[in-house]
Amino acid sequence: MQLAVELPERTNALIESYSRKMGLDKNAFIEEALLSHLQALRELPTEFIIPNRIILSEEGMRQVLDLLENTPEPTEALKQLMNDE
Amino acid sequence: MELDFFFQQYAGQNQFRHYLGVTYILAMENTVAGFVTISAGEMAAADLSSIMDVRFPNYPLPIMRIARLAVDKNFQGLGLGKKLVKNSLHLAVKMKNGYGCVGVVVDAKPESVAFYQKLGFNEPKPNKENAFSKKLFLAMKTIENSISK
Repeated sequence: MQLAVELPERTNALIESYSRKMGLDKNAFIEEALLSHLQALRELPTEFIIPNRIILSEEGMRQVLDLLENTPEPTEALKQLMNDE
Repeated sequence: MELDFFFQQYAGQNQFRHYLGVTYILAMENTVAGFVTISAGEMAAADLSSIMDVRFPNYPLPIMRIARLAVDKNFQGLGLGKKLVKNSLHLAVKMKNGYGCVGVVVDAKPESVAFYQKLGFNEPKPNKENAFSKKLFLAMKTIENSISK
């Protein structure tokens, strides 16, 4: 069976890089990755898997970038939390 | 109930079998009084190419996630949840120093959102709304600035 997927350039580059390092061709590498993921899905209900990527809307990502560039001062509650013995 | 179930059945599998996160336990009186599960992650826009500008590189941003946090009913009201959050934020600072982290994202249940907002967490607009949990973000610089030198 053949699957056609559209991947971002970065993901494709990572697949190329890791499959080369592991001495696998891309087909074998992708199949192994899929099998590992399917095994995790079999063993853990989806709601208990912690996906490592959070996808935001464009607006949400801009909000995050703004927060990183114009970092808000810590709130009193945060300062108290981080410095209480 | 869901958090009990996660802790009893899946926290260990997540950590030791699939390496999806690490669960820290807060023990009191020889019992588990609370726990927090954290994991490294990344944050991206649905279409990254549409958003990135000169301010940031064209790849997802590394973050630390507070994925699950709970305190046993018998130990609530003692500030243990705060202790778990505090330790998690200190771990995020270590992550930033070790291999990069722009901030912390917490998966907060609706009833906990106000607690995190008081600490300065913001809710960036998600790609898809989730009625059961909100993803709240706190920038690393804000965390670092909150710690007295």
